[in-house]
Amino acid sequence: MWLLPVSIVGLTVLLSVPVGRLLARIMDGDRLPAGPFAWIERRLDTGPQSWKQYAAGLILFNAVIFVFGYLVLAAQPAAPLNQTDSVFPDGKGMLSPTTIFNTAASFLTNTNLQHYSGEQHLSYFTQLVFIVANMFVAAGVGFCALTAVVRGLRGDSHMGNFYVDMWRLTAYVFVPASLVMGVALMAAGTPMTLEPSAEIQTVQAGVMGVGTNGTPKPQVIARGPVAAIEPIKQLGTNGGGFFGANSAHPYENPNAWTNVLECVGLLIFPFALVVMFGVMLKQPRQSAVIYAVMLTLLSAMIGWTVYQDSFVPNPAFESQADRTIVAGGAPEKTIPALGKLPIDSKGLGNTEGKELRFGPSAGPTFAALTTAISCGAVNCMHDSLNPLAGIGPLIGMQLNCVFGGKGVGLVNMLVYLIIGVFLAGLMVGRTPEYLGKKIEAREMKLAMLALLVHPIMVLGPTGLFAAMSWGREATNNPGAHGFSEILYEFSSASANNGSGFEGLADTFGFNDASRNLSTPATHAAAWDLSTGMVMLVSRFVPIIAPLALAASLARKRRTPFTTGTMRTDTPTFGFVLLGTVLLLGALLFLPALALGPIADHLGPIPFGR
Amino acid sequence: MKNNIRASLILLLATVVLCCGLYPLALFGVGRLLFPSAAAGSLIEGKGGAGSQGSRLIAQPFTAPEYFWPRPSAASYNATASGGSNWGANNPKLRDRVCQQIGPILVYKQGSRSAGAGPKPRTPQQDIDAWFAAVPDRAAAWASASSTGPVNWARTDLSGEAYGLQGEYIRQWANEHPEVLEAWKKSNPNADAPKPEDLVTPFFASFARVHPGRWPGVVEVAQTDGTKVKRIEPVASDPAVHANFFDLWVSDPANRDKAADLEPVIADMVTTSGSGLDPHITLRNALSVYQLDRVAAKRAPSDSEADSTRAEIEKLVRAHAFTPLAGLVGEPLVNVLELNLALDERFPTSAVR
Repeated sequence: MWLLPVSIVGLTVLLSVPVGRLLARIMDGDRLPAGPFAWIERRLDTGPQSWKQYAAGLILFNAVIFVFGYLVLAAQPAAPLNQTDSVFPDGKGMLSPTTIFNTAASFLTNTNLQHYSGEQHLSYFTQLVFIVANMFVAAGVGFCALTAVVRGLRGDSHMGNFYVDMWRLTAYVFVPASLVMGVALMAAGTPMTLEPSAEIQTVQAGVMGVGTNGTPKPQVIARGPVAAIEPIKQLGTNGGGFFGANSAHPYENPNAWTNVLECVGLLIFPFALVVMFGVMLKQPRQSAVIYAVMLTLLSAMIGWTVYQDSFVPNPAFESQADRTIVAGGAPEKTIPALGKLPIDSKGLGNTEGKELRFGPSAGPTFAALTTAISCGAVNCMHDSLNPLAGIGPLIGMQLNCVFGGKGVGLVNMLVYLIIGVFLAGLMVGRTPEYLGKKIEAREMKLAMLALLVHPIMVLGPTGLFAAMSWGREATNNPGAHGFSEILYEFSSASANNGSGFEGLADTFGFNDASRNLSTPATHAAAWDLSTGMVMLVSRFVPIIAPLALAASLARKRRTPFTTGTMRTDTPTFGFVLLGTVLLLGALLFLPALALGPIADHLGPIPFGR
Repeated sequence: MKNNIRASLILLLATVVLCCGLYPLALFGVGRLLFPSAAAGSLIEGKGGAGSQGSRLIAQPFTAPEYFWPRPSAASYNATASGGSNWGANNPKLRDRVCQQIGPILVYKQGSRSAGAGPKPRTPQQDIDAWFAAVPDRAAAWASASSTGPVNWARTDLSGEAYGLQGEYIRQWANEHPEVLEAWKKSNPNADAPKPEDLVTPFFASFARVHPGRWPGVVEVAQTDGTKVKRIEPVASDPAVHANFFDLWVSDPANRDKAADLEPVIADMVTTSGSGLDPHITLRNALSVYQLDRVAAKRAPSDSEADSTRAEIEKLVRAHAFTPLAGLVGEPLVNVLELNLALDERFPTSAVR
């Protein structure tokens, strides 16, 4: 059980040091090869940028991408490479406008929340142009923001150039890494084809049903250019699957080896970024403290989720004592006891929503990683995790700083760090400073802005939707688990994660409702619009506020290092940082967790039988 | 500003050319050249150009007793609409689905007290029937206490607006027994005309009064002209009783000893996968009495060869087993489609009894 998570994390830690050094070299433009990429870089270079210019460039480019994405999505019926099969004889139509907005925002912000199902609703052209382009770009934006913040912290006179940074990342980091991973995935069985769905005759005839003329129906197997999307989905911590089932689908993730590859793929850059931070600052001890704190938190999350899901059978199959429910205003209700079902889960844990080929602890491991790292790909259905195991992914998204998304996670951690420095400094009566720069009112305001936008964007809409029919009528599970679905959706949107308690009814599908295989969800538009806005706000505020914070620090004179300086590169400070994250995180999110997974665990199970 | 717009557009163009053009083309070329089968979806070609028989990676449904069965699928094995059940542990549908699946097939452990000695062991289904008949209104109690099972029963074979046998039977019963509608009106004073599924609770209460200890089961009746029609009649034993009442039976403290003697089902046999297309089952599941014994009984050419056939099939299953990550994680698995194809090759279906 533990071998799999330990080897995945161990392997990534080993790889992160050389990769981190390489990233630092590339971002500082050190010894980059000449050639066509360098030629394009020179066309892009608009000169050194201040933090405002850098942020403006970032916003402008994102706006361009948003318009581009919206147009590509809206033009789906007219675009080429629109595959047809017996399920969709006319190809893929246009998605509903709210879903287009949601999807354009979602892929722009590295969230990849999917209110559609890839194999049903997108043409190969949309997958290759909209999805792939957005995945490469979105992966770079947070990365660039972090690089600029580091340049500010190390006291550079300017923040670099956004366009050059983006291009270097795409051309020298993400494309080569994706090519290598894509080939490895194809070797294991991931398809790469533009042929339409395969139609096969089942071995036992008629088992897929019988057509109107009495002939057995074929099994229609959706495929496509999966191997092009899968690598950048993981490496860019994007997480939006080619198929509805994401990395649980055998074509996206054919065996246990590719599962390890996908886990390492989603971890490697967030890990390496922390190393890059230390290398670029030339203060490796500073990043070692942050790395250790993040690794501690991540290990705890993996340990909790795996233990609660792989060592505990699904409570639905266990015996339940009888219980009496007393609720104000309702008559007392006694629920009779339930017997244990004769089901052998030994060595398997909770297998509902899990694939067998990855190994028994692979589902919860992936769940903990993908949410801590803000990837959002899933290889099991999080909705069906054991109630207490569901806390793991929820906390990962709510803290959103345990490695976190590309760059953004580390930026969030720096915000916690500034707050930690401030709190600790006040407590021991020393001037709070970080890297020799004084932390003052302006920095604290920016840090609080970056910190608070996340809980507000999670808890506000969750409360609103839980109180309205938008939320109550969209849940797939009763009781507290239904509340968890709503809480999960907004945590995921605000953390730019993109995974879901997927039972939630938030899919409308094609705008022409008659072309949909399943009935459009009643409240899909409310979900599309709300989560779309949450994703945009929670993406750009926590990127821009720290940019301003770093610029404000960069302008300050460095105070001399004395015996009175509070050091931020020691194990002691590591504990301070850990405590800050845990305390703030607990204060912000524990009440919501008590209403969701904890109440779910306390029962009754099953609920409302 | 003009500079910035120009740079943004060049960056967009360069990204699209590199990432949406050159990069997929390179992968496409490598796939075509080095991994042609995987690139097309790992399809298994049939003999004599009969088209593909399936994909090695995608679960194909099998329901006939002579085949090994894959895991249940929340996506109905539809490989254009992958997905899981997304049911949490607290969802009554989850426990109900499992009980519905195992109730009719469970057996007692070999040699256990509940199975008894003798050549034909006693089955849990016989015990459920006896338990059901012992109290006249079990069906009424079940219909009022459960939230999913009774409604599902009323909606069996529902397609569009047309109800199946069960739904029509409820309608007809309600017409002939006015107390059903009266009872419903009493609890729903302001509602419109009820659908069959709205009437299950009063229907079963009324049915239990008329036919105590009986169940409205589907039976095939031969007509005078030789054709057979299905209709609903009060019966003492029915697979629907085993499916619907297993949970109540196993939860009844009086049946505790019998429940302890049940042969356990391996978890993957009753749980749906994340994609609904998981092509594997555990080796333990394949070799359990719920799979191997059924397949072997069907594939044995004659009774005298039953044991040898079972042993041979077991060997075949074990030959197909592998453990993920070169044996490092989890337990041995088998690919159901590949196993069934090998099974058809070794024991042709023409010999299936």
